[in-house]
Amino acid sequence: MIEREQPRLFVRLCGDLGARVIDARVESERVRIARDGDRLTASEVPPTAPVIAGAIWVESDFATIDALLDGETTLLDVVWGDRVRLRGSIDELLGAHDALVTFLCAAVRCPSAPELLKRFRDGVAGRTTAPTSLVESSAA
Amino acid sequence: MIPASEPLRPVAREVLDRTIERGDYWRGSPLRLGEAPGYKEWLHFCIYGEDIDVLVNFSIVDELASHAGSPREFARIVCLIHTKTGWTGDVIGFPSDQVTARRGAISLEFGENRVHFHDGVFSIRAMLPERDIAIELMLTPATIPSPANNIGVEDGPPIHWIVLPRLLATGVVRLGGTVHRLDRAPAYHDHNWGHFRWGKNFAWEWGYGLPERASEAWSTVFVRLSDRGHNQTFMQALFVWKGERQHRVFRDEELSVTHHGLLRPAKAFKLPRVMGLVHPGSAADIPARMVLEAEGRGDRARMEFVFEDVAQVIIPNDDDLGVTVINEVNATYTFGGVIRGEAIEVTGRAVVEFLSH
Repeated sequence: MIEREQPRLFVRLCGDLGARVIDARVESERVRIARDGDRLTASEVPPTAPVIAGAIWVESDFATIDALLDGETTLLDVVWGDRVRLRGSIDELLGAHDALVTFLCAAVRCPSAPELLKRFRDGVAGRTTAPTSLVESSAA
Repeated sequence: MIPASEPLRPVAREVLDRTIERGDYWRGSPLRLGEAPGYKEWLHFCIYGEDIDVLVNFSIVDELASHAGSPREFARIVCLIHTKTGWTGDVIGFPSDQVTARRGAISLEFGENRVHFHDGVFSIRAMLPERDIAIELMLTPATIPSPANNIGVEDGPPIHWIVLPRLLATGVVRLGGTVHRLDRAPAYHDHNWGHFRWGKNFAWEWGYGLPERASEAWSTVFVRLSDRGHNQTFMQALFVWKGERQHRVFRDEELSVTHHGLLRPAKAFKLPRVMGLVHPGSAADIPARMVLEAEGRGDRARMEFVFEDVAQVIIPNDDDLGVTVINEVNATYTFGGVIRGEAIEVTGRAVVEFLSH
């Protein structure tokens, strides 16, 4: 979505992410986000697969993500409250946070984002059978 | 002078209706005519019920982001409601195939929602089902509107507006399981348009107050347009209506504005809610009180706002990664002084917008 609708911000996002690998687990779903040249990949990973050395580990649950998206809480509060758990070096975590901010700034400028957000939140609420994954492949 | 609680004489009604039709019509984006994107236009309404303040805004904005290769217009309804439990609300968007906006008329249809002006009455319908909000109101204008064209900002195209400071609203507002029935409740309307860009070097303070007693004739609107840092004022004015007609405008050097204290909300309600991730926190440069003192040509007036609670509408900037925050702050106000030899003392409710970055 970002690559298609905000191409300049996509380039910036790739630069912010750099060589970092983010291994994210949300309940039974797990994805690995990494840069592959000038593309970003978000690959599904088996839940029990080992974490790549040096990857940033992020773990949470759908209710917490839904609460963040609904403005009920803030990122700072959920990290302090252990509802989002992080593991990595301080420098890597700060760099990943910069990439997250760029991602969010880009996403809110994408015309497709509201519909994608709605599908995600409806999935979380169990109102539809739409996939709950918010991660889109970077494939064209 | 016709108090707002009494119906207008037929001549005054005809003048009022004609002024609205000729001034408040929907301009429409020139995007369809091949011009550059960036146009913004909205109709804004504020209604003061007995235990409820309602803000509802119908907008169509050129989206600058690429979508299937070309910019497009996007329609939204933003609704903010304040009750004893604080602010709540929602934003809902509409694709172009669900939108009808008639240029040259006051007639918008976004899905099942609408704003129409017909036979001298605004009809508003806004349904936001995700948050169980339903608004069905008829608003009868009680004042002649005041236009302002080509208000310059430092580094961008100008802003245009028309202000209709007093209407009487009748109908229903439903919020969750609670139904609020309004009967001739005081209301406000404005209409803004232009190619101005969010994030440029401008900010505004825009307040409108209506008296608690319907028999009071005085309506007021305050506007101050400044640079982004609030260091240089581009224009400022306090508009005063008596009955249906504009009675006095205090401008520029006739007016001084002072802020007192800081409003420190424990938490600011944000719309769209997801924008809380981009703009977290509740710190905002909003005073606890704002005092306007006006004097000129033998007239003097003093208006004081005491602010209560803030809701934030957060908008991504057009040209950078920052955001523009429209702080909607509800308040009580007092307005007093002497204008054209007539003593004034009014109390009422108000909403003031503080635009910040």
